[in-house]
Amino acid sequence: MNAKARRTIVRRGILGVLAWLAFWEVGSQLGEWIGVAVPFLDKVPPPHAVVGDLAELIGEAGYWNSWALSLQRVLWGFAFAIAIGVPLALLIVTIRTFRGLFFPIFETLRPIPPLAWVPLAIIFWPTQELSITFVTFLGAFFPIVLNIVDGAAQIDRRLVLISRTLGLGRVGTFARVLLPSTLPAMVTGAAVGMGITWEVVVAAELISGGGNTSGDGGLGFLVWNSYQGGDLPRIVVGMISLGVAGYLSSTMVRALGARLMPWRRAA
Amino acid sequence: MTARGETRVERVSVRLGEGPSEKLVVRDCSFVLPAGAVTAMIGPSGCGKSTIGAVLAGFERASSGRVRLDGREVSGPSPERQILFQETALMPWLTTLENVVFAPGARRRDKRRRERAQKLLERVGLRAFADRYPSQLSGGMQRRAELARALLNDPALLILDEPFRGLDAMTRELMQEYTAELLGERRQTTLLVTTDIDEALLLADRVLVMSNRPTRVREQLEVDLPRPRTHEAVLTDERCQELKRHVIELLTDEVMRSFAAQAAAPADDVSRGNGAAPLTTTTRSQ
Repeated sequence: MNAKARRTIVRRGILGVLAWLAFWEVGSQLGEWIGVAVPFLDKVPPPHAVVGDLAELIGEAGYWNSWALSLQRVLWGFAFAIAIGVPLALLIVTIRTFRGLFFPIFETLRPIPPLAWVPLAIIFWPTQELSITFVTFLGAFFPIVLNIVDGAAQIDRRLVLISRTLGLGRVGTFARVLLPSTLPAMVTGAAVGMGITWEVVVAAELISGGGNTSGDGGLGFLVWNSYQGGDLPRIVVGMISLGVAGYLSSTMVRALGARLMPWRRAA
Repeated sequence: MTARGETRVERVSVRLGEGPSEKLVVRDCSFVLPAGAVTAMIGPSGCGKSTIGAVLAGFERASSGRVRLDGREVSGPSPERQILFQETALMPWLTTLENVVFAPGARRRDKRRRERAQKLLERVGLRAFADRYPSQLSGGMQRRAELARALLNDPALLILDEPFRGLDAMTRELMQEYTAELLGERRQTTLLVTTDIDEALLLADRVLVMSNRPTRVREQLEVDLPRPRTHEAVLTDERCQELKRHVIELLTDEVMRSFAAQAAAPADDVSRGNGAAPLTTTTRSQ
């Protein structure tokens, strides 16, 4: 992609955000201005109120502490999901017996929403921090495993046969055909998993239940706590913070993936 | 260099599938691929030609009979037998050069091997594309890179399984003439599996015409046409027309028999009756 195309993408992105903000600003106040309420939007604080709260929050150490806390939980959960999910997926993919034994259990556990795990997570782990990390781990773990298992099913059989013909044994074929073949699926799984850890962090941080109104229980806790305190603009700030964090981290995973797979950029 | 790669297929039968879906694909099939010659195997599509290719490559095991290459019995895949499939099988994550030198462990970093790979790439006209990825090559270029990869391993036997099928007509003709030249100059023992009569007559010293499934050799023909052969020459040569007519007659006869067999079969058999068996779905690695 050349510099011009990239600038166009950035310009459109900014334009899109600005247009949405203008729509939101007008929509949320139309009821007051001319008495015609826009559904849904008139219940939301206008952007300028949110920005006001944001400006207030930015000055508070607690807000940044929430970012740091959530990020830490997400990253640990994600790291464990990669560290356990990738080898597990590769075992499912390569050893048929293992797949037969394990896959039904995996498929049963997968649809259980992370929120439903919260009580058990509290019982399982000695500290609150570990319980929260465990729930974010679950959020990332399943999409990572599932993507790799699906990706391996799409492997080009001919590449495996050719590698045998070129003198590679089982181990060589695994390392030099199967692994690179599943790399795209691993990256997709990681990007999806990363997004879900941020979705799950709200549920996870319900566990934390502590903190104060400045919200140093994490971004998810900030949203929940602001809801209980009836602070609407602050809820929106928390939501947007979560969205931005998820977007940034998924983009980073994808960028890292593109770096690992230079052949995908070449065309 | 004395030609090697004499391959004797002795009373080979192959059954594919398990239990009720088991099918006899090759029945008591015998033939010889002479060393240093190109032998084309032509037959109705789905007859089991590719399965024979897979047995020679070591991907499939013969249910009975055996295959001997220069006197030694063949079992399992080995670098001495290289294969080109119907579609490209280059590793998408490796550059052209890395694909060509692909081998276990230290051999791919062997300096002399890399130099030979560079030379082969030059020979197939891909020197400038050594550092490109397969997705950046055209279909014909991909085929040539695969030829270079196969030849770098000095195979005793080269198996070409309908290797030009996916190419456009122009590229196919060029690749056929080009491959004929390359195989001829190396006296490479080759089995060319094909459904294209012109291709067989252009490249081969001998043609094996195969029967329907379960397949076996129906007839062997010597292609006594002068070399080098070009498409123009082959298509206009009288002797060639004669050979071609004969092959078409044999194949038409086989196809008619296949239809007759299907018409006589119970209805549920027709549906799975003559389904083509592409290598990718029927092979299991051992």
